[in-house]
Amino acid sequence: MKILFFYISILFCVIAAKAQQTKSFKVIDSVQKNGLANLQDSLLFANAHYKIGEGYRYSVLADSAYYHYHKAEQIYRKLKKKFKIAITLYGIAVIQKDEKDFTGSEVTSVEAIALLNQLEKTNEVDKYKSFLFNNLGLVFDQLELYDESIAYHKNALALKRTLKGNTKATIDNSKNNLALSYKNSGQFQLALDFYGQILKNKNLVNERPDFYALVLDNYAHTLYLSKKKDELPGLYLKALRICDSLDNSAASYNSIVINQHLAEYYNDKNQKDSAKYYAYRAKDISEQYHNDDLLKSLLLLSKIEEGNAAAKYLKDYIALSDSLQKAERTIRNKFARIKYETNQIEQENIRIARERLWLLIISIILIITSFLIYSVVTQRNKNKELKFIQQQQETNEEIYNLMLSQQDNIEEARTLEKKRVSQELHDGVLGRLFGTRLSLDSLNMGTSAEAINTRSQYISELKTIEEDIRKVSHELNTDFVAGSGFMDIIKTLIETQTKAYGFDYELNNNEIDWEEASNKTKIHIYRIIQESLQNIYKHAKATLVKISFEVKNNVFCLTINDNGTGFDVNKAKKGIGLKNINSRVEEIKGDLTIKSELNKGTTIKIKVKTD
Amino acid sequence: MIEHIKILMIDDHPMIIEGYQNTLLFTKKDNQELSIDIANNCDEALAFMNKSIEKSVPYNVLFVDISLPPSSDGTMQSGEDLAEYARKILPNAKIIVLTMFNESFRIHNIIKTIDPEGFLIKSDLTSSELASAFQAVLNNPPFYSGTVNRHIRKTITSNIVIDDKNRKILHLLSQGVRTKNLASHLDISISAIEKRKKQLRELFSVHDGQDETLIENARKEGFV
Repeated sequence: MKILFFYISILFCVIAAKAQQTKSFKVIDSVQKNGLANLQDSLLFANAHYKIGEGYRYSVLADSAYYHYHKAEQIYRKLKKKFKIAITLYGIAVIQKDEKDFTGSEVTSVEAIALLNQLEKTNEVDKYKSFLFNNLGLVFDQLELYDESIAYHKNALALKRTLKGNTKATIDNSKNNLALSYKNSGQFQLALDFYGQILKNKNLVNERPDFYALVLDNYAHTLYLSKKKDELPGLYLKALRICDSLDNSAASYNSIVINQHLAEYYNDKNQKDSAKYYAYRAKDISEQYHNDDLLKSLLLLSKIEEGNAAAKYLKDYIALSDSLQKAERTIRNKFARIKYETNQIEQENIRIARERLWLLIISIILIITSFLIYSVVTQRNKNKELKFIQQQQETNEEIYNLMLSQQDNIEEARTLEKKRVSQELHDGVLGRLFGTRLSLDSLNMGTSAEAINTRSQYISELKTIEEDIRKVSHELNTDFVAGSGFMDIIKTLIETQTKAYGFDYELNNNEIDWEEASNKTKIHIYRIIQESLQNIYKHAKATLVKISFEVKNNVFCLTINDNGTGFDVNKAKKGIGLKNINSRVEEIKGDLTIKSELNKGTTIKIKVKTD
Repeated sequence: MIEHIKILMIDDHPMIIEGYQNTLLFTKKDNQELSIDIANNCDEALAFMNKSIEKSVPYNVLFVDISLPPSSDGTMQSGEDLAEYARKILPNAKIIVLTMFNESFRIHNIIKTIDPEGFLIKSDLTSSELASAFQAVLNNPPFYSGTVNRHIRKTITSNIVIDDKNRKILHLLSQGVRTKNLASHLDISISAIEKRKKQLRELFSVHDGQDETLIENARKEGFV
């Protein structure tokens, strides 16, 4: 009977809902298109789904409504909007009840009530609570659990009475529903009382004529069931008259029941013609709707008609019943499928979310790893550089030590030479000079011819001694260590390197006073030559290297020339060998020029101020 | 009466020996008859000495040069060793040391170890001095060169007394040997050498701690 109430509202809602629906769809579209999923947007999204669900519910498109309600419910659950969940569940419960999924509807309603109970009491909360109680009442009525049904309807009624605003219509609805439960449970007097309460309102026939007709019919039927047939069929006919006078689908739908009741009444009275008339009328109208009412009409007809016609209607009844049952099952399956599909989508979402999480974790790990690798690599490079510097220092030290030891060697050689000269003077010259002197001294006294002869012998001996002294003097004069020291080291370096690398060399060493050059300069020059030779060996494939030292206008000039393959000076700037030479030249504040011609050789020139 | 004098001259320079011979032959007294053997190295000298003992005609006078190349068997390192040996086997021979060395240390050492009858520094020597030295050694030893006399006088008059090791340290330092190498020359530890050097610096009142000053002061005092 509740269905009836909804159909009344549908008329008003469908048009409005249509407009709203398109708007809501737009919202969903835009939300989906933009792929936004933050809290605000998903709320919008859910609201849109809810509105569409509502729209479909009023349009009696149960499965679509259910789908959108379910979507809205899931989003609300995520957002933990309890009230919204509850009202969505209410929508779902109503659909379930309409589609005769009574247990489902019961469960959904109870859950919605539980949610509402957790909220603060407001008018809106109470309103939906009363609606849910009403729904439960209807469900239990259908399940023929009249005690529960009555209890829930009473609850609903009590709650509705506390509500603010115009609650007359909804209270009347509840009363009607309560009375229906009483009627179905056989408590006709109580039912009559409530119907009476509704009908007492004289304005009702003008305000809600279809509802008035419905209640009137119910009232009359209760009378019929309680065997108080005095006012019958007058009340029935009055209700039917009101329905017929109204030209809308709700009224014509209501008239089915009234016609059925009339047919039932006349059948009882054995006025077959009237009974048949109303039964056929009920059937005709209900055929438009193809539902339970048609079923009832067919059953009624099978009772009223006789023989073959009765059998035919019974058969039709069974066929329709089967098809309705099938439809119910299908719709229930559909619900289950929608729930399953959305669950699947949910699971898919969860899976995607998990994948995203993994992706995030993996990328974080990757980033961290790459950062670590990067830092390790840079650290290693730094270490390498440090090592390189250390090595350079070591080699510098080596050269320094080499020079020091060379100095020592020179010192030693000097001492040795000194000793040798002194020895030579002492043993070779002095002794002979002494002997000659002594002899001449002794001969000095003699005047004999023999003495004169011997004397001249000694004098010529003096000459030999003179010669010897000159020799020693000459040896002393030629500085046996001249140009040694640093130049010796360089010479040794060039000799050993060129020998090892297998090329010839020419060393043009103009007398250069190395004593004035600082050790730093010497070390760097040594290293530059070493590095250059290495480069020549590695890259140039030369056969001859010319190295020359010059000093011009207080500028020292080192030139290293090879006859190798040469290279592109601009491109090779970054080679480590050249870099080394560069840094060394900078270190001694020198000037480096490199000239190179392909297949003709390379010339490196380094100029350093001597001061 | 003819005085027969047997002489062994040891010097690695034939020219010097010739000089000695010339001088002696020219300046000998008429009653003296000289028989001179010449040895140019330690080995020859040893052979002559041993032979003279065998024949029981030992040498009366030995002219010994200090700086001689070592003997082939290595027992004789210089004229000094040779002279010492001669002292043992020819106790009656008069030894005249002739040397180019005029450093106090060497002079000191030679006097101490050999105590020669004649000690002549070649640079001082003239033929007349050699002649008089020869005669003096034969009749009235000892005869020392002026340099030797000066050295002896200096050491006697000096208040400073130092032992042989310190003397050697001074000598080696004056030769330009470094302190770190002194140990190997002297067979004592470096710390011991440092200790001795400290002593020496105090003895020769060296205040700046320089080796050069030490040597200079020591030379003044006749120890180098």
